[in-house]
Amino acid sequence: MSGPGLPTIIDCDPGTDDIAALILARQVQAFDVRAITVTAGNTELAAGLRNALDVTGLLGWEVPVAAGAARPLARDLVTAAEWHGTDGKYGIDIPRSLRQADPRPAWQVIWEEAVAAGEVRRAAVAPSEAAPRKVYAPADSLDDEPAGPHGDVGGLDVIAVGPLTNIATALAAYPDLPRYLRRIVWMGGGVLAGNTTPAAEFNAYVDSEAAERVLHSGVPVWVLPLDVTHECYLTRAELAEVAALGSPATDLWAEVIGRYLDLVEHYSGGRGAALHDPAAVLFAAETAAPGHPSSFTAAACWMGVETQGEASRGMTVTDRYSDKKAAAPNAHLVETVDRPAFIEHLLGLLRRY
Amino acid sequence: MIDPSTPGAGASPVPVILDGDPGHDDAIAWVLALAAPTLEVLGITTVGGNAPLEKTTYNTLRILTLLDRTDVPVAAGASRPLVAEPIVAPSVHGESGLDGPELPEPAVQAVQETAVELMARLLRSASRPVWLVPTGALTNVAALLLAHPELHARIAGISLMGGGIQRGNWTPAAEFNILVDPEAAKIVFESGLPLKMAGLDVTERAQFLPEDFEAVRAVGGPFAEVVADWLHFFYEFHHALGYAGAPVHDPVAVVALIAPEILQTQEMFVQVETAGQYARGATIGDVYGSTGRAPNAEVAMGIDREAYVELIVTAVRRHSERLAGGKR
Repeated sequence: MSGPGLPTIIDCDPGTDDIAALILARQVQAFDVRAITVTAGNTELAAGLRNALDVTGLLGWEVPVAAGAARPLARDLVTAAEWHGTDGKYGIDIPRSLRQADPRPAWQVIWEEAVAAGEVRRAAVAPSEAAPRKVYAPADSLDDEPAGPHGDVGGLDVIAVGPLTNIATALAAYPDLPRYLRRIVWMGGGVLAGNTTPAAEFNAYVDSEAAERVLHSGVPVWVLPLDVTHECYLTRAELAEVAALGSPATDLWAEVIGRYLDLVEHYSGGRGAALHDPAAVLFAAETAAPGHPSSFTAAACWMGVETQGEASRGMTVTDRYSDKKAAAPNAHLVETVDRPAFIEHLLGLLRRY
Repeated sequence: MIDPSTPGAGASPVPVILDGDPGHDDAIAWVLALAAPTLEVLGITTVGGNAPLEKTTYNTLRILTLLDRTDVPVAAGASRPLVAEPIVAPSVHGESGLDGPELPEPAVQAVQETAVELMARLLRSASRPVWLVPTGALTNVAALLLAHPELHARIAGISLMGGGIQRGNWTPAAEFNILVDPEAAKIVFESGLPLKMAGLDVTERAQFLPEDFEAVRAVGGPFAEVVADWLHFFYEFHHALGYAGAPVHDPVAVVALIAPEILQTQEMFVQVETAGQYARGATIGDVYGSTGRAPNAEVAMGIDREAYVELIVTAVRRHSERLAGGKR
């Protein structure tokens, strides 16, 4: 499936909205998805791996699927079975795939694909045309392609829609990894409030240490917190449009999100189902290349994850709105979405099935 | 529900005790409270914060002298937080804690009682439960709650300026008043008393633009000049940070008692973080109801800004007329 798109790894914990995100990612022309890596989070690792294999099998997608962490770096696993079911799919029947997981662990896959992508990219650019070496300084504009922390522009994008355990493990195991990563797009955190605790969003709560590690890795991290993903909601009427498309992939998408909508509608004020993980995929798609129009806006800021607080553990703390600004922003906070444009993009991808 | 006895319901003025660390916006909060026909200010207690305690007490006495309201008893309170080391904010309010226009020297002294003693005496003698209106660190209020459990029933509620659900100002997570004494804030938020919280979510929207200072100045007379100059001083600090106007934080805690209809509020379970490498002093609101805990605070999240400006202009006009007429 290697195409002309940008080398990309999707790290996920499927998970119902992860399943929806994978179905969408399959149709993004801007991506060359090199692998799907799975972490424990919404479900136990084994269930998430099963779902990733079965969904890619249903889609006829020959992308490697690799298993990663079965538990957070330094904590016991907390799952979200009440929102996703213990199987991560509400018991929905997905045909059992004969696909096998990649024998390598997730972090090794991330490293090897990062190195491969970096080499591909460097080979494609003549030395005189190579990106100028510069210190990483996030810009307010999505049009600015972020440079790496060491003056390199890595070649691999990672879209992470679960706890960041696999990425943090890869950073620990392969210290040179940051120079090979172009950026990390993460669905996680909440600025106004969390959903697992009042302070913490689920992905940031489950592995707070991993999230803190990744945010301070030097790799540009684009964060989609609950504040924006709650605005990326799908109404029942729009769900009916998906259900009417009538392919096995869109049927699964509509069934998973329909069940999810029944559970989570109140989080978007009763407006619809907040599509957390699909939002990260569509954001990454729209911003894969500089100058592409995007439904989203973002701003550079400092962000850290509280790992020690009593009430605040797992809180994504940002100076975006405070008077005291960090000298060096380390993140891009995705803040707004043009929902109609987002939904049009989403339906356009699903119509390809 | 917070408190059925919210001010405005009864005919007689609601008794309040003001507590703060003036500070330009504390001063304006007190101007508003002392002009409100629906409030009866029983006393004022001071705390360190925007400036050290000696300065905030001195400033309080100067403000009351300027207002010709030295009948209101003032008691100096805590010189330091319950547990934490003191923090002061001279960059915001200047060296005196209330830099800007010249103010009269105090015509009176603070009472000999401590802040907790004065509050306890006023609570005991009040004809009905009293609202506390703290606009600085919550040290005095927490000390009162700790020292006098028997007086909790004499407190109608606490309408405070502090915290921020979405954000901080002094650190990314923490607003100044809560950060100065997070342990005291935790005691207040866990007290079970009715709480009205005016945090940064609302006070950052409660901005005075330059034309609003001029509306204050246009009231005419020396008192209006002083208030306009306070606003201008406060504006210059914030303008340098990129604000369009001056966020006039503290009076919003008074607005919650005298004009709640101009606020948008949300009942919420709020916790104060006292630990953490980033989040100490954060007020964490259970916006999405993940705890299932009953709300402990009515949190203001929005304000009708123009109505807010008008309330303060009206208060300045009332004081100016009273001062010009020599009547109280």
